[in-house]
Amino acid sequence: MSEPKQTGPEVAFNVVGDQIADDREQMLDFRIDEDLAKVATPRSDHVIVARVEDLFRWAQLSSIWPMTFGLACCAIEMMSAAGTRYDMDRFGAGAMRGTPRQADLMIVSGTVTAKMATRIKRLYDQMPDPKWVIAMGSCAIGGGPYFKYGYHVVKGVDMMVPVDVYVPGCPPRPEVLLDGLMRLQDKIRGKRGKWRKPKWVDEYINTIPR
Amino acid sequence: MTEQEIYQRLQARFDDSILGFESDIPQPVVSCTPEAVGDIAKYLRDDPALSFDRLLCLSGVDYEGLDEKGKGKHREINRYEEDGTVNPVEDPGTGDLAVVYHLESFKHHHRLCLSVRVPRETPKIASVGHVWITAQYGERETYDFFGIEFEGNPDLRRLFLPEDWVGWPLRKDYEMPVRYNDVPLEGLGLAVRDEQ
Ligand code: SF4
Repeated sequence: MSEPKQTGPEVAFNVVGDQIADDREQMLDFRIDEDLAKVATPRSDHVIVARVEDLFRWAQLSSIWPMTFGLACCAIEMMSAAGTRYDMDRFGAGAMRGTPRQADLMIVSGTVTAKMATRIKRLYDQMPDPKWVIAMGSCAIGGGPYFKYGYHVVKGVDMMVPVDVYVPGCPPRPEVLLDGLMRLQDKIRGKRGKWRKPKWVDEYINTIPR
Repeated sequence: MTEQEIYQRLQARFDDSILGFESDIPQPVVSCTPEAVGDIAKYLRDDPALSFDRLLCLSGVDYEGLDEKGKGKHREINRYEEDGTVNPVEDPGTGDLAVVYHLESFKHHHRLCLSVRVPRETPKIASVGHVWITAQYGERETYDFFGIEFEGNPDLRRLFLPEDWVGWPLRKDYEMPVRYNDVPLEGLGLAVRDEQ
């Protein structure tokens, strides 16, 4: 593949052709993927050359279907993120599916109890590949407020299923969940997330008494 | 009717079964013996002057480490340590368990708190499920968390925890589980993640 050349928003026009209506163009606009040039090389006005893998990944990350699945208080924030004010659908992740068979993404939003953990495992196994998991909130990350005396809480959903993105907070605000979603999209795209750990985080962690 | 009057009325009717009355607290408490609870409950509901037609709450209490008045110093209880392991406290409890009934009358707008202590070794008490239907679920919950057996409850199974759960979690000498079936419950994951 030749060196990708810098392209502007008109690339989207080239991809979908000029018969498709404006709003449809918006949906397929590669601007949400930062730059089509990194995915594909336009050869002429109506032809692009791309690796199938890249295009598939682009399609996957633009239409993540989460499973309708809430465990505790964090689920309220997830509903809020899916509602009109924060509108998760802007990132293509608004089609909440009622069955694991149709879902790509499992947002584990809340406390994973021992009773629920086996069900989570089963639901995860029922999801078709490729599939991703977001651990939302302190509880799903590591037991949260139930770490010390929570006899019934699994100390992190990553003990049951592999987790792709951790979204911290108790509960995380919808913005944070959306950010986690975008980090997941980065991951699907095959890039590292934009967020780097600032130096003060380690310094702060070292001050916490053990 | 005030709590004092209710207490006197109960004492006149049940005599020895009524053990005491505590009035210097915001919600005065009448205590009675576990065997008499069924009869007392029926009387409280059916007596026209009392007519406690609603059971607000049925809950369990573990008096381990507390004195008669429910006061005492904090007892060391089992927990998971910061590194994720279980910290066992080798101190089996000896204190009583108790069941507390909060009652209300829609007709007379008065309330009563009835407390019943049962010994820890044989926590058995008569069910009031036939008097107030809601009690059947409250009793199942109390059985689930404290292991108090309600004799006469038609369906005394665990309510929230899985049926094969071991132990009574809200007792203060409860042993923290390491696993439940295939599910790890100690904080092993955090310890592993810290090492990496
Ligand atoms: S992390 Fe906090 S808000 Fe989220 S489920 Fe746990 S306790 Fe609730």
